[in-house]
Amino acid sequence: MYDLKQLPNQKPDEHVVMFLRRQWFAWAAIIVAFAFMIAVPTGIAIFFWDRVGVWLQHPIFGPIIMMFASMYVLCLWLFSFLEFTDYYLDTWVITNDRIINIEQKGLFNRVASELHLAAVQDVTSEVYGMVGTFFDFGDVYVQTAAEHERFEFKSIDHPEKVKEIINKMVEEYKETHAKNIVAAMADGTKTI
Amino acid sequence: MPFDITNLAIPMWTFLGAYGLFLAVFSLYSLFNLYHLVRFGTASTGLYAVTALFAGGTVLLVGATVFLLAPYDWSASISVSDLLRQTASTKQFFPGK
Repeated sequence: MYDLKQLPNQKPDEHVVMFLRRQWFAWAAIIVAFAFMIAVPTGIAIFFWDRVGVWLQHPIFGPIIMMFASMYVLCLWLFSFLEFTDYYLDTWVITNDRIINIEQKGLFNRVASELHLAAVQDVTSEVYGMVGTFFDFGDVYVQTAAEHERFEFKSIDHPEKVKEIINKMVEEYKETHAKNIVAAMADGTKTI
Repeated sequence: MPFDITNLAIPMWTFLGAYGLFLAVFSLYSLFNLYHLVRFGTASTGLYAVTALFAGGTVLLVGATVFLLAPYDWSASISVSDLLRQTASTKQFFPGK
């Protein structure tokens, strides 16, 4: 289990600035879909209860219908939980030293990558659509020095604010780094 | 004696076997999913709450199924000829018609 106070390969002076997940719409959609897929067959069964009740009392069809109903509900329950896991394990951690991107792809694939703040060249935020504008969520893209490499923060809350924080962290990192180099050169421990 | 499919009788417990197989696959996926959450999730109250909710919900759903399936007679057999006769008669499935 990850502990935000003890990140993998954490430097002594490194601390977590932001911990991000996709916005609440992602898990709300899972709950709504689950409720809908339970409510529709339940509603149909209640509406036609005079017939469904007779089927359920039948010594052969009754247990078979009951078993299929149970399998349907358990499958929905499991798939909802799998979707939630996919949502829950997609995380982005911004520290004062790097950006860590952990992405769960299905149940068996997992990608973890990290980007040093020194490599950040450009940060872009994007809010799309009426819902995104109203609830203030969207994407943030972090372009690195490598030509095709970029980090994507997908459907996160307050993308503009996140962009500003990343830019601020990058500036602070570069300033501190430059000061350290100047100090090292003044000490004579580093030369050009 | 020539083979006649209408003479076949399928014991009801074979359906329970199929259901048991489904539960085994369900348990495997559930455990693997729980392992993923516990192994790679970030330690938080939310994670513990969701894990407990899933485990509790699963126990409740399986328990309710056992409770609802228990009253049926699982030692009975389905005779194909009876089944064909019963499905041919729509009266018992569509009362009022």
